[in-house]
Amino acid sequence: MFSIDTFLKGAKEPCEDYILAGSEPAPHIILSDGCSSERHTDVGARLLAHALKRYAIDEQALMPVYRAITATAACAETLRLPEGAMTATLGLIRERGDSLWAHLYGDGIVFYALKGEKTPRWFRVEYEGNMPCYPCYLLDRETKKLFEERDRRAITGDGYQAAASLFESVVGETVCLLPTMMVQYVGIASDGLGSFGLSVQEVLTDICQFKGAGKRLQRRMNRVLRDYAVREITPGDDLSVGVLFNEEMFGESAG
Amino acid sequence: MPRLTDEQTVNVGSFQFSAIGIDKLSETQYTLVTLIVDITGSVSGFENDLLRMIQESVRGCKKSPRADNILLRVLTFNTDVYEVHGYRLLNQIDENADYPALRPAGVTALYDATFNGLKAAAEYGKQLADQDFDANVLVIVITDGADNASSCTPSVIKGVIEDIHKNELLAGVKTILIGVNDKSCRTYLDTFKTGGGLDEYVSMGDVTPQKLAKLAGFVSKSVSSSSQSLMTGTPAATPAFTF
Repeated sequence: MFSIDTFLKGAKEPCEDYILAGSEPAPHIILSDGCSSERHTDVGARLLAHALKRYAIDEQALMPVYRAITATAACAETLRLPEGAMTATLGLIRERGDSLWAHLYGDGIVFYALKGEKTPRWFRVEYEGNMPCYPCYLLDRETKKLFEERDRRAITGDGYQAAASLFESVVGETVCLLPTMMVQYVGIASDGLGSFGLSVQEVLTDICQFKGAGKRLQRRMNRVLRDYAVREITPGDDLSVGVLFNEEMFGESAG
Repeated sequence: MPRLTDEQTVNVGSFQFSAIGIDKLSETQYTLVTLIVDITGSVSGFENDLLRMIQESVRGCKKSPRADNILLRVLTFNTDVYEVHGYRLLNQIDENADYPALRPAGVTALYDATFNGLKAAAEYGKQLADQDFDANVLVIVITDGADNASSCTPSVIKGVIEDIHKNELLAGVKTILIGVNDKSCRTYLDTFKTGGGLDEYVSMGDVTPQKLAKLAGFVSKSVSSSSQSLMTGTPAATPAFTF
């Protein structure tokens, strides 16, 4: 029922974004965006993403983010990575029951379209001073307390309220629920999507003109980036995007 | 060996061509390669070596690191133009079974064959571009003689190439004309290259089995170069080759 496509492009070396996806036991996409002011977050982002896959998807554990960050911290210590290496956001979308769930741990963008719609609906989670609440702060009691006391999160977007239920769970996590049977696709992106110097609305509108079958997101991203490059528009940050396409509904008209 | 079951047939005015359905393609970039081989009466005597050249070209292309990004169409021509097979993924081609013996006969519709190759590539390339695929085109024509049977003219072929460049839907188009046993028609083929707007004319000279084997290597290296250029965004280089 769902096809999955992902896209990853680094704006610098090494790329500190990472994305992985799968269909078992249910369709899912996980992305991680490493903090560029800390060292080796390219490694930390990868470890975190795979750890979240294990606990949230494979094992469907309670408190999967906490389990993931704890496992990643142990791994980082074994590898003698600096503590800051785990400073990375996490994003997850998956099918559960009759809903599509999108989780942002930190900042990021979620977008979707209902049956028959051409223009995507979306919301963006940002933090004051571009300092997101990273999952690794869960391990630091003082920093966790700091985030609990001050809500520095801001949500902007367009039309996302139509079918999405949004709420914040544990500190720094934004959760969005969508009814599977109404959605033709749902996507998640790192904040690199907002680094083009264009509005997120404009970029998403260009990206979401998906065509054909197969790797439609990758083809679309390549085309958009090439067209932008002709206009001398390039992303200022690493970019990771993943989309779940509801193949039973994708491309159908609203009527 | 997987057999092709997902072909579409496309009408392009005066002819049809076949190609794998676009919804069956799993990569994001493709080089559309058309190999056009002369089977007029004058190639009689080395038709088996020509067939081996086609087979070895395919084998060579399969070894490319970009083999999954290549779609190959093979035409033969004499008085008429024949599609041996339409655009297929290399892993859908059985080079031992899919190429029947060549039966040289007839006269030379070189321009019609070249037009067929380019026009089909332009049309299929447009279909791919419309669905956000990146694509470029390589057409290789192998002939031993001057045209004497076509309804098409070199200027029409040049027009097709110019349209491809003007539309900017494809990442590039490269055309290579290869003359075999071409001592007596070298000047003519050079004129065709210029009048038809083709990129290269490579003279192989007298045919020998060894030279045709080398030609297979030239074909597969040219294909690989075109596919690499699609990935890197730089113009495709023609491999340096001496026959």
